[in-house]
Amino acid sequence: MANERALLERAKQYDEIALGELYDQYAPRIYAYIYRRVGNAQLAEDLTGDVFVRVIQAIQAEHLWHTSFQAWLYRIAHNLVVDYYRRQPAAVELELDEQMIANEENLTSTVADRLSNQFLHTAINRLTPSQQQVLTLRFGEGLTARETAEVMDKNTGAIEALQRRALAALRRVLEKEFQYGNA
Amino acid sequence: MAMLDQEQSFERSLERCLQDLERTGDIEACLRRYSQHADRLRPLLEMAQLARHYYKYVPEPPDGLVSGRERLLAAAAQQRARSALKSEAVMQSTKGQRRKLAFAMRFVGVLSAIVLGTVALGGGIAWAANDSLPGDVLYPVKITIEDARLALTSVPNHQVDLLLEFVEERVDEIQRLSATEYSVPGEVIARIERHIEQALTYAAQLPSDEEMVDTLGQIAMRTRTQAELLELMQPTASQQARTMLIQAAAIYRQGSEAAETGLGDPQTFRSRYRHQQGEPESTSEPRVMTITPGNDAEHGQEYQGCDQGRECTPTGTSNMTPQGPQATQSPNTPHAPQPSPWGPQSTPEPQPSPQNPQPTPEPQPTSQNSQPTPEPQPSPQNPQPTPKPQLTPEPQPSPQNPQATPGNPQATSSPQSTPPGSEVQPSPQATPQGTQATPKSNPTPKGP
Repeated sequence: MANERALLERAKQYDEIALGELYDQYAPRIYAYIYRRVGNAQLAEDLTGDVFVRVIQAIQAEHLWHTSFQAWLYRIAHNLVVDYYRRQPAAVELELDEQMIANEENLTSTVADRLSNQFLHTAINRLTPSQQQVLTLRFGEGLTARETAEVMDKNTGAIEALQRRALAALRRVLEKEFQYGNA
Repeated sequence: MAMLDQEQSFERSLERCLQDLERTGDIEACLRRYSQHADRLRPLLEMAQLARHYYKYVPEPPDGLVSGRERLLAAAAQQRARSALKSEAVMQSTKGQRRKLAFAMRFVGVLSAIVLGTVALGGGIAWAANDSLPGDVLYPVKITIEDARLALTSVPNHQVDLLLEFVEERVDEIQRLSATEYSVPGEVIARIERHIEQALTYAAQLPSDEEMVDTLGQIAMRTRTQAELLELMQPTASQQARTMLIQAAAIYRQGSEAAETGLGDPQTFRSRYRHQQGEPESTSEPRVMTITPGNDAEHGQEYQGCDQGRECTPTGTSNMTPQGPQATQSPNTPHAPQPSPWGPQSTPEPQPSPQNPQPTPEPQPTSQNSQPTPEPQPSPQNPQPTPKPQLTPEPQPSPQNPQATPGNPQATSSPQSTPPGSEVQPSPQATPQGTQATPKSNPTPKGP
């Protein structure tokens, strides 16, 4: 942590080496987070670049990130993702990456396995952005409730309630529209 | 009370189960451990496992994240160069200010007392004032110096540069103020508006379209950058500071959009802003503008109101479109001294109104269809135009336009993926692509 603090202090002065280290450390995580939200690798990589350009624009405002640099990065990423969707016509939103449908892990699975990713993808995207965000952070990024609360600027209790509602809503969508569990 | 305890017990059980599940993946073990909640836990834990499975796969980034790194380092190099230039400019402008102030003394009677005082106390005061914030004793000096610099500049391009420098300085002030308990006086916000509009007006006066387009590009880029900076400050700002940040960001964003509109249609832009020439300058009431903080009006039950659960209160209207003679800063009289450099002030921030949490938004004139309105019309929300720009909440969200995001006020009307207030969206956002039958036709997709 002390090391990160020192890196951030140097990054504040636009030190290339420090910025490069921070990028190497966090960019893969931010890329993964964005990919989980948009389902498209190229777009996720572009938006990851945007996140770090925004970091440069505001890194001198230390109060933005002094509690948690990681949480700040996730917040910027979330804003960019929602912003991206708002600018897109609904019809072109979220075409699931072919790779995501037929990824290597699924090659050994049944067709139904592969389909489930599509259904889940559709179902998750019916949830509110906050619900999607909490699911991604908790079950994709593996953050704790406290870390998720930092990212979402809420208290831990609110996050726990939100994730419960998100899971329940996901269940309802799958049951209602995809007859999940009715076999 | 017992009900509440039971709910809390359930929430705790769920959280512990989720943690265990991450380690072991064994739902049944969890259910045995919390058998009293087993019926309610099972469907949620199944969904958690499905979600974890869904999120597991992330492909390698196509470009190995190399281009992002290059962009980051290039942006850092730009910022370093900008900082170096700024430091140099501050040093030069401090020297220049002293000379200009001495010159201005002979011609600007209104300024003479302040200039005399400044000269008498030495250039140190001018230098010290440079770092002052609204509410500081030296802040009026800083504002006076700005006015003097603008008054002594006659080339429109240089005037635009100066005005952009001033509005960037305001962001720096807001940034420093947002970390304190003090609010930004309404006059500061009004000054930002006035300066952005002046910059647009000067741009419209440039003789060639080429020059005008170049200048508008500068205005669009620099105001957009400032808007983004203000938006980035919002998530961690206090509630009071956030309201002010939203207001300010909306003003910069509208300035940027007005300039971009000019880039798309220079002739219409020129005729609209030239229309202001010769009109009397408003000294006490800035033109009425309509600001729509698309920014924090996040959708859904978790984000309602303009501030992640907190509502914005309309405090005025603003729009970068000129509204009429009384409300217009005349391009021909930009050198007039400003009404009054303000002193220390505690400006109460707008508070949500329980009687009218979401007033009907006033129609916003657009660059395509607005005609200059002779006078600002008072509205029920804004019976008397005030110098402080006002926030007008977004229209009631609809399924077609349910979302707005903190930190992104620029996009307000595109179709949304999630209607507000509902946990589940009624219409599909994405349809599974591929050769399989539609979800409805496949009654039992594989569960966990």
